[in-house]
Amino acid sequence: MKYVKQVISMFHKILMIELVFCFALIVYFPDKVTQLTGYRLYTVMTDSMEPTIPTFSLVLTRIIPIEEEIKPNTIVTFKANRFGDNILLTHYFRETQVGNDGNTYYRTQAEGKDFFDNYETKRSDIIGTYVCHIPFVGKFFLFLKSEFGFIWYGELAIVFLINKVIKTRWDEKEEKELVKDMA
Amino acid sequence: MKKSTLLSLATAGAIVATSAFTFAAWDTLNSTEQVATVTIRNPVTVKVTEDTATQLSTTNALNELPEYIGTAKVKLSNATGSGYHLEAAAKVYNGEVDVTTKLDTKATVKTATLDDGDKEIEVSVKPKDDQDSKDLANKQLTVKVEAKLVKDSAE
Repeated sequence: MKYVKQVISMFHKILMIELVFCFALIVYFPDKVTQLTGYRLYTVMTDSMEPTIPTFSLVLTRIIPIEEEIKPNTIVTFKANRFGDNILLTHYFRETQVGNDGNTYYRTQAEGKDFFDNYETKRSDIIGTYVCHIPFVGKFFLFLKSEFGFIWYGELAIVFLINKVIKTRWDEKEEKELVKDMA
Repeated sequence: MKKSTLLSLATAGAIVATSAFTFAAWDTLNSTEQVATVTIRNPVTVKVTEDTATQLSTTNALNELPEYIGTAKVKLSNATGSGYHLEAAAKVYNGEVDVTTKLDTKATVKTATLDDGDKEIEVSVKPKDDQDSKDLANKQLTVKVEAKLVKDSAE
């Protein structure tokens, strides 16, 4: 029975380590995870897709190859240049239009708007298509990536160490009392 | 209750408390507070007025390339302040096709002051002495003028 308990405990530890490892990979090395899985997580920072996708939702995007056709009214994640800043947006793809320069542009649109976005989005700017989202979890991801996230890891480590020290002290005390009793 | 159970509960409590406190501290620092109010004034507009000459005037002389010259007007509104100047560019189209590079095209802003009102832009189109320009002979070309406010470069 004791042997079974030890095996279960070991499996539990391995599982926890693997979970933490996977989580750390997703949060801190998203490019590597994307290469391996073909999916990527993004945090929605604005209310442009509400109510379909609430602000601070964690969106799972499937990365699509450049030759893959995108159907109109699909929600896509794409690169855009807003006032000189390169940003990522998740909006509806509505239709393609051929510009005066002969290039094909993918017109995107925010939720509930009756006009297209102003961005000159080419097919190469579209990263992937929306799969699903978890509301508000994106904020936790932002927290983990911030300086406070690292402070939190430190706090957890301190709590864990205090727990271990107290347990070890108690075990030592019990062992001493046992030896005393036997003597 | 066993000592170990108490310790586990205390550990869980400490984790929850530190997590909540740290997250709340981060969230507070990240929130946006109102520090001032701002009233957006009317936007500055630059509009090419549409009643400009429909046909550019031309020079005709033997052994000289013709030059077609006209004036476009742009109307500036709410253009107060400094640090900006007006720039203009002309493009020539054969139907939908941009043929600007096949001709010598110039758009010159004729006014230096940047205040509200009509500003004149002199547009000049001159064919080059090459086959590309000759191919455009007897075709009705459209000249489009684009005017914009550009920030003065800090030199």
